[in-house]
Amino acid sequence: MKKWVFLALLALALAAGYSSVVIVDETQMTVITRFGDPTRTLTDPGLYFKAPLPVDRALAVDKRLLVLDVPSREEAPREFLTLDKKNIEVSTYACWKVTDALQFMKTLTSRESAEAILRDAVLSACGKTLASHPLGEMFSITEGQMKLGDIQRTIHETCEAQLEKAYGIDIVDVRLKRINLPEANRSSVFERMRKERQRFASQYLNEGEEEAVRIRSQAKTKEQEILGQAYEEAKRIEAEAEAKAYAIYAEAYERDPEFYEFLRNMESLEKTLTQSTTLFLPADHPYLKGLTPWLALPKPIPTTDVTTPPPGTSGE
Amino acid sequence: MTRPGRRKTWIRRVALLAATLAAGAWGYSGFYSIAPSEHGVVLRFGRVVADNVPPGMHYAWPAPIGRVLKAQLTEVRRIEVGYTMLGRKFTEARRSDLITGDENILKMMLVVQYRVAPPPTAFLLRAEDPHWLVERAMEASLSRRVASLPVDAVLTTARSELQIRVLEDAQALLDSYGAGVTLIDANLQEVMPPLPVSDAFTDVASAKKDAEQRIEQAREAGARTLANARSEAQRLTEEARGRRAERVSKAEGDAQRFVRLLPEYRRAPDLTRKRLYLEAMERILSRAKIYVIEPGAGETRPRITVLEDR
Repeated sequence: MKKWVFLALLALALAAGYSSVVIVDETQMTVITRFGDPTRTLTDPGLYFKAPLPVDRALAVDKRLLVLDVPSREEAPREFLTLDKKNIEVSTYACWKVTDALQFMKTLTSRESAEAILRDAVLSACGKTLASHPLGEMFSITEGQMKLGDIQRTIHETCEAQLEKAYGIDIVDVRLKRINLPEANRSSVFERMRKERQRFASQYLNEGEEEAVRIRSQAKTKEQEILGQAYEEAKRIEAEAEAKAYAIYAEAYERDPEFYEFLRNMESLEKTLTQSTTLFLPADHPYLKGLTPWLALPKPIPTTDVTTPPPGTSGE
Repeated sequence: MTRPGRRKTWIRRVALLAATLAAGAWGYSGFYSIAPSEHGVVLRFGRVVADNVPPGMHYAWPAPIGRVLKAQLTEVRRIEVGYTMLGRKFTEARRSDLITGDENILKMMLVVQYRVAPPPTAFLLRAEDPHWLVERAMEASLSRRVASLPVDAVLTTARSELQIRVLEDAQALLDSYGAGVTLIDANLQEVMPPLPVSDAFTDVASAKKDAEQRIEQAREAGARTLANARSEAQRLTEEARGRRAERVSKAEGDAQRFVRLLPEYRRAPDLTRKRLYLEAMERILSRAKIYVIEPGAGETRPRITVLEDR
C-alpha cells in the first residue's frame, strides 16, 4: 500500500516537474499566465521554469514575419475609387508580426482575429488613401509624378497608427501588389489603346515617307551637283584644249600670216562653194584668163591680186 | 513464495530492459546527417547553437531538447508571378494584367529564381513563408516599376532594364523583411498586350517595318542615282578629255603641215600661190554652176554666158 502511494507521488512529481519547464523556441514568444492572468512574457529563446500546470500556463505566440494577402487569393480584388472618380481594383499584401505577446494575447488571442482586424485596417486605409489621389498619380511616365511609393507609405502608416499600439503587433510593410481596372472599364481603355496604336502606325508611316522623300531629294540634289561639276570640268578641259590649239596655231602661222590667210581662204572657198552654188564670174576674172581671147577683154588682169577673194562671187 | 518472487524479478528485468532500450532509442535519435548540398541549423532548448553545420554525420540532443533544421543552399528555387492559378491559360485572366505609366494594359509573366542566403537561420526562422514573400515582393516591385514606364518601353527597349530594376527593388524589400533569400534572376517570360488590342500592336509593328522598308528603298534609289550621276560625270569629263586630245592633235597636225609647207612655199611664193589658187578653183568650179558676165555689156543687163550646166 505504501509502495502505491509512493509511486503515485513520484508520478505527480514528474508531471509537475515536466510542466514547470518551458522551452521557448527561436520562432516563438511565450506568455506565462497565472490562473489565467498573464504575468510575464518570455521573448528570448531558451529554457525557462514556471510553476507547474494548474498554476502557471505557457502560451506560445509565433513571432515570425507573417504575410497576409488583402484580399486573399481566393477573393476577387477590391474596387476602390480614386480622387478623379475612377474605379480601380487593388490587391495588396501586408507583412506583420507580433512584438508584444502579452498585449497580443490580451486583445486578439489568435492569428485569425489578428488577420481579420488587419484586413479591415488595410482595406479602410486603402479606401481613404486612394480616394485622395487621382489615377494620374498612380500611373505616370513623368518623373516625380508617380506617387505609388507615397501612397503605399501612407497606407502603411495609417495601418500602423491604427493597430500597432493597441494590439502589440508590428506592421512591417503594406504594399500594393497589383492595380487593375474593373472589367467594365477595360473596354474604354482598349478603345483608347487601339486609337493610340493607330496614331502611332500612321505616324510611323508618315515619318517613313517623309524620310524617304528627303533621302530621294537629297540624292537628286547631289546628282545635280555632281553633273554640274562634271559639266564645268568638261568645259574647262575644252577651253584648255582650245587655248592650247590657239597657241599651237598662232605659233605656226605667225611665221607667215599672209600665206596662212591665202591657204585658209582657199580651203574655206572649197568648203563653202558646193554643188548647189551658182557663180557669176566676170569675164575678166583671172581664172577665166584662158577664156578671154574669145571675149572682149579690155585690160589685163593683175596676177598679184589673187589673195583677195574673186570679186563678184555669190553663193546661194 | 518462490514463484511470485521469481515473477517479480522477471518483471523488473523486462522493465529495466524496456527502459534501457527506450533511453537508447531516444539517445540514438540524436544522430542526424547533413547532405552535401544542405546546411544544418541546430537549436537546443529553442536557442540556435550552431547555424552552419557542414555536411556529414552529426549528433545533437534529441527532441524535445534539441531541434535540427536543414536547408538546401545550392538549390535554385523558382516562382512564377502573373500566371493564373488555373494552369497556364493566362490569355484572358486579369491576374497577369499590369497597368503601364501611360495607362495601357499589358499582360506580364515573370519568373524569378532565388536561393537561400547563407547562413540559413534567417530563411528558416525569421519568416513564416519566405517563398511566398518572394512572390509578393516581386509582384509589388514589378507593378510599381511598370506604373512609371510607357507601354512601348516595356514592350521593347526597357525590358531588360526593367528585369534588373525589379530584381533590385524586390531584393531590397526582402532584405528589409529579413527573409534570408538571395534573388538570382528575374525573367519576363511574356510581355504582351491583351488579346482585344493585340492586332493593333501588330499593326504598329508592321507599319514601322513598312516605314523602314520605304526608307531603305529610298536609300537604295538614292545610291543608284548617285552612282549613275557619278558615271555620267565620269563620261562627260572623259569625253571632254578625248575632245581635248583630238583638238590639240588636230592643231598640231595643222601646224605641222603649215610649218612643213612653208619652206617650200618660200622658195617660189608666187608660183606656188598661183598653182594653189588654180587647183582650188578647179576643184571649186568643177562642181558649181557658173555664169560668166561680160563686162562691156554690164551697163543695164549683163550678158550671161553659161559655161556648164549640170
